[in-house]
Amino acid sequence: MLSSLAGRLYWVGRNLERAENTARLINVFTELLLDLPNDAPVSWYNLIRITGSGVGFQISPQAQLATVAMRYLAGSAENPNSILSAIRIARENMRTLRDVVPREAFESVNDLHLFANKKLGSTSFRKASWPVISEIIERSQQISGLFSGTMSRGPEYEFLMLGRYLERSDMTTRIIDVAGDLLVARDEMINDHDTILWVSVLRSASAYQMYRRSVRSRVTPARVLHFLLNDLNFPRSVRYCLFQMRYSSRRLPRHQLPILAVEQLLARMDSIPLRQLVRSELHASLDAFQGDLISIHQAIEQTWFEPYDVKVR
Amino acid sequence: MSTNWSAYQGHQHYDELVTAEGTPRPVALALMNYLQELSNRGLKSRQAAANRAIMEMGITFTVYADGENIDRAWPLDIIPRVIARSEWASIEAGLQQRLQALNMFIDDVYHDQNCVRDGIVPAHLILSSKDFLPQAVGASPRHGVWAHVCGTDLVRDRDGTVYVLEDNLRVPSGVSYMLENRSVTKRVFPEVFRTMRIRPVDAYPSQLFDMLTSLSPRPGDRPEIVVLTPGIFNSAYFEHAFLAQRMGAELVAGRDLIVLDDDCVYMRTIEGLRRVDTVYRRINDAFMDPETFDRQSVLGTPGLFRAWYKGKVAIANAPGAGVADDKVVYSYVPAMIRYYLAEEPLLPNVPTWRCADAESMQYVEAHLAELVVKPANESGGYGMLVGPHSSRAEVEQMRLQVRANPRNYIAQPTLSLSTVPTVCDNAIEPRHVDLRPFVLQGSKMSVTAGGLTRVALRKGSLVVNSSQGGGSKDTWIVEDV
Repeated sequence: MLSSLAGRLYWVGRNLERAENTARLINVFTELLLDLPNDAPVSWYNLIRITGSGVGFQISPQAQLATVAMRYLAGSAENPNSILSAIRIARENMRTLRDVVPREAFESVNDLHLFANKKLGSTSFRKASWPVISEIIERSQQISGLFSGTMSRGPEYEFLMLGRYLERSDMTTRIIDVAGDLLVARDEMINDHDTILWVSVLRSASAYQMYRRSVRSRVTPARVLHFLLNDLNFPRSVRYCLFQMRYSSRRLPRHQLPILAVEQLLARMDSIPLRQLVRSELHASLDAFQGDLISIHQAIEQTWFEPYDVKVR
Repeated sequence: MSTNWSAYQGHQHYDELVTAEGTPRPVALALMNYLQELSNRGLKSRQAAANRAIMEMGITFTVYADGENIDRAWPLDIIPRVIARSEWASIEAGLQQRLQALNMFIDDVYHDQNCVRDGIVPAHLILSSKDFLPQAVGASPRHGVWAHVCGTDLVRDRDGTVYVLEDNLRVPSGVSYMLENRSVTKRVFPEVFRTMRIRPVDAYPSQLFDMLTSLSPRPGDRPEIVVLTPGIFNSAYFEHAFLAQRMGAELVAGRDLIVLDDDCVYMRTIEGLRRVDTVYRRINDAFMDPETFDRQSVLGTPGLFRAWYKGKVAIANAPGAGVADDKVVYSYVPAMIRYYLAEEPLLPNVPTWRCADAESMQYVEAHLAELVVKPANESGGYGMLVGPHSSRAEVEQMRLQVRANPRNYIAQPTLSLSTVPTVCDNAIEPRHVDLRPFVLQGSKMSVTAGGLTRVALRKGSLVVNSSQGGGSKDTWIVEDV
């Protein structure tokens, strides 16, 4: 299998996952802000930070933050992490993969792009309404379903999965990081809303229902953290994603480096006592996790996507 | 109500299906009987079914318009063009003869240039050809073959004579559409395929594969064959992907390949580097290798030319093969056939005036408004003048261009291209066609059964290129009646 092909599949996996995650975040955040008092220290800036899109985000003083932020996260062409950008990148890569991916998946991504372009593209975009964002999530789910239901488990599939789970674990750590921020910032001010916040954190990762079924007790920060980082069965927990990456890597040739990188992060997670964690330590740990995820990405890239630079020889 | 054919105005030109008297040609009788049975609506609904099939199968070509690349559905007119097997046999022989001579010419050009010494072609012709590659002099591709894939454009004039219009020896495209057209017409006219004996065309991908295999520098091994594409934005990308898939070969871009110190070509795979034996390249000479040619090119692979020159990899078509694709060189092909093969040409050239030749130029100047004038080195129908269909200003504009650079132009009489009935908005009308068969040459030769019939969809137009409003038709080689 060509390295460049593997790379394109990986980026399809990442960008489809990114689009879906961003859509979920927008819906959860919209609801959360309705539940919190106006002076709560939670705003759309937090969401922009979660998605790692802060650098290019600008707003004039008179503009309404919610509208501008939503446009930036959903339909901005300048923001490479916006839903529309991610879908566009996925679709551009898919165009060269017509013979590799199931035909229906190819068509669905194409349709998703047309839909996103029409509904979120800057000219027509007013406010990313709940139904539009929800439809993006649904369509993304449908595409995931087509991959898992109709695609042979060859290396092509494993590269899609590597992309998906790397992106997903990255997003989950970002959500936790921002949640930690909120805990520090709130102080005594919105104590009442503690639970609402933590429920929202779970819901950002689509984890609330599964958390409830699995944990069966009061929502507490430590339990939420543990669930999102370490739960073995929840498909969006960081540990689950890492296991999936390890599994996919094992099915690919020359996998030593990527597996080593995955295990490095697993070991780090094992060594951190979540229950005693204070805010500053949590942030440092999450920074380290993010660094390890970057290492995994680099190991994947160096092993499979760009083997043998001329100079090596 | 059946389709009204009495209004069909096919007698103004040579019509491939209908005689000047308005009766079906014998070879097309079964088809015409079938078509006449169909109601106008039946015909239209079959055309609509074909269009749907094309959308579903994703048969597209890429055009550049309004600053972006757009995938357009491939235009296919469902009424096929029919050719008798006996006539095709003689065309096929003529095509093989022609490509054989062309390959001997190219090999001669890059070695001893006997053709120049013996006065068959003038030396300046070769040296001034845009596609002559001095770097390729002395190279010896296997079997002495340089042009492995040739798309030869044929046209039929008013009196029924079939002429060679041009030889496309660089990166000819269209063969995938020939194959797809067939699979669409089979869906649309299954009844006809049952009753008429139509020669199948689907052998092409395996013939191409066999030909590319025969070029491998490591015979005996299972060769690694790749299709080299300039990328998704190329107008023929669909075809590159199609052929790679049908042959089970990798579709690669320049950056997927790497040439190491051993002068061998490798492709980058997830398993590591894998040696490549034959590159079926669909990228022009100039962009192929930034080390040898255009240093700005980001499409190519540094060192590819060196690897080829040293015989470590085969490239089809070989670098420099385009020297025979020049439209001035074209005018010498009959002489080449006589010189290299000691045979008379089986397929005639269109009479051609070389503007570099003073006497011819005089004639061209005097008759410019009646002639077709073509630049020597363009493809896709760009930069040409069809005198009778052009304004005075356009004619005068061309006159200046030719005067400025006569070597770069040839002129030909405006042929009355043959027509085929075509489904138009309100009726079936004659539209002009040409035909592009594909000839392969490696260790042996083969010719497609028919080829790609291109049709000028605009009334009266002679321009059949898909980038300029052309469409296509399936081409049937059938038993003589």
